[in-house]
Amino acid sequence: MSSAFLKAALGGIVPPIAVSSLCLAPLLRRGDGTPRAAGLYGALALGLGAAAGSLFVLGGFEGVQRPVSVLQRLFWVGGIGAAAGVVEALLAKRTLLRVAARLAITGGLFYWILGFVREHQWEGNEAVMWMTGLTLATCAVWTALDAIAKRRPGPGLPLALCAAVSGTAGALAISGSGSLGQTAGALAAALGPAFVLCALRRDVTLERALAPFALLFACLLLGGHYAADLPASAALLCGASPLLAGLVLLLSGRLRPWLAVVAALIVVLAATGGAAWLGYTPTPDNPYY
Amino acid sequence: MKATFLAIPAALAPLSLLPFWSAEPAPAAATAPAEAHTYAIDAGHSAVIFRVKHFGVGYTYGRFNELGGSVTFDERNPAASSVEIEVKANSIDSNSEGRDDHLRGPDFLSSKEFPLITFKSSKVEKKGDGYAVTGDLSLHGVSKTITVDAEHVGTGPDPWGNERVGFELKFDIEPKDYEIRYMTDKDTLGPGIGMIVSIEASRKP
Repeated sequence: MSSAFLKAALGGIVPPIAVSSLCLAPLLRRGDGTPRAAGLYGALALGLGAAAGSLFVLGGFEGVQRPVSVLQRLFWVGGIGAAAGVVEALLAKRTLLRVAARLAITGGLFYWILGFVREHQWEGNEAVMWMTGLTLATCAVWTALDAIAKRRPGPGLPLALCAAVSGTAGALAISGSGSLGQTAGALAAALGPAFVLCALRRDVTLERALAPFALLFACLLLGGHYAADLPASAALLCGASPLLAGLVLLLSGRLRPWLAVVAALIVVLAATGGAAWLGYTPTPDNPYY
Repeated sequence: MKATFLAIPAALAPLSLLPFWSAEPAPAAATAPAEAHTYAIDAGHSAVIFRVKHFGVGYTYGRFNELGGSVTFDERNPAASSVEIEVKANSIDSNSEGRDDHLRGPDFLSSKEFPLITFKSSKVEKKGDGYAVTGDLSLHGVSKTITVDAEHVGTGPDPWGNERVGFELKFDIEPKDYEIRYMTDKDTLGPGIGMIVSIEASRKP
């Protein structure tokens, strides 16, 4: 494998793991695993970790200073996700304000990311309808994952989320964008240390740490569908995979924990595998690489 | 259908040997416009061609198939001349369907986000036998001022009584200047992309 391909493959993985590990390190100490601290450090780990990977994909700071494309804006989504995690921690006990903040951040982000769709594709009220629907759906998934994280602590959920984003990375790469796939890979890599942490500290959960995951995952799928060629059905399957996995974990109370995790991973594999199959377009000509 | 269409000029080629067909247009100098005239770009006789070095060992060529725009030309007063070109990004054609899909995607042109590539001149100057055309090239959502060398290929009437003018512009661009950074290091694709823009434009006299 040439150095260029090795660099491309590892560059999106090593920096997110390093940054995420650094952010989560304080939670390894006993007594620092309060939900508020876990939410804060967890969100920083996922958001900044994914942003570090995105930075590598885009070739350094030069590539993100003037974010003109969806791909470049994803770096900032990681940062905004981390900031949203801080807001969540600050508003931990003020539910209504927290929900309002979620809606505002998600809606604002989608407005920014989907500017080109508003300009070239949606007409009249279509933009309002789609933006509202997408914002509500994303916030609903985000809230549901939060609830699942609270009820099912342990490494199961981070592993399932990691698998869901990895599968989505494959679907994105297959459907026309290696860069979007690499960015999704960076998010999956940032979830790795969270999985290790949750395995070591069973009292730590990802509740309130999922802002960067929810926002970046949604933006990746929107970018894949609207800027690349990820079919809507494939985007839906990918988008549903974390929730499906979470539901399996939640509803498999009678199963042994490892068996529940295996079941969740099978569901994720089926959903993202189906998405990759839907997104694959065979071409009659020879490989062009 | 396409083959038939392409075959027509080939079938007509022998006609050029006949005296009435071989009547050459008057030399450019004799028909040089005395004032600025605006011509519409004839997409069928124009081309935007690019080449990029692949793995440092060879050049891969491609083209954009859909373009339009206009040229205003005054040979005696180049400063009054101008050019506007609009190219559809999704019309890229590199002789590989899979590669074209990839080139249209977010890794390169992101044609759904940025459907048009445009060039609009702001200054035209005489330079040697040709011209130096300065203008804004907008690609992938980034606009940069560049200066390109333009050759005036010729001016003259066509068989239908229109007046035609032709130019060829050659220049290099660096994808990173336009925030295209996927695999664009010198070991994979590049450095730089060589561009040739060949324009034929016509107007009713």
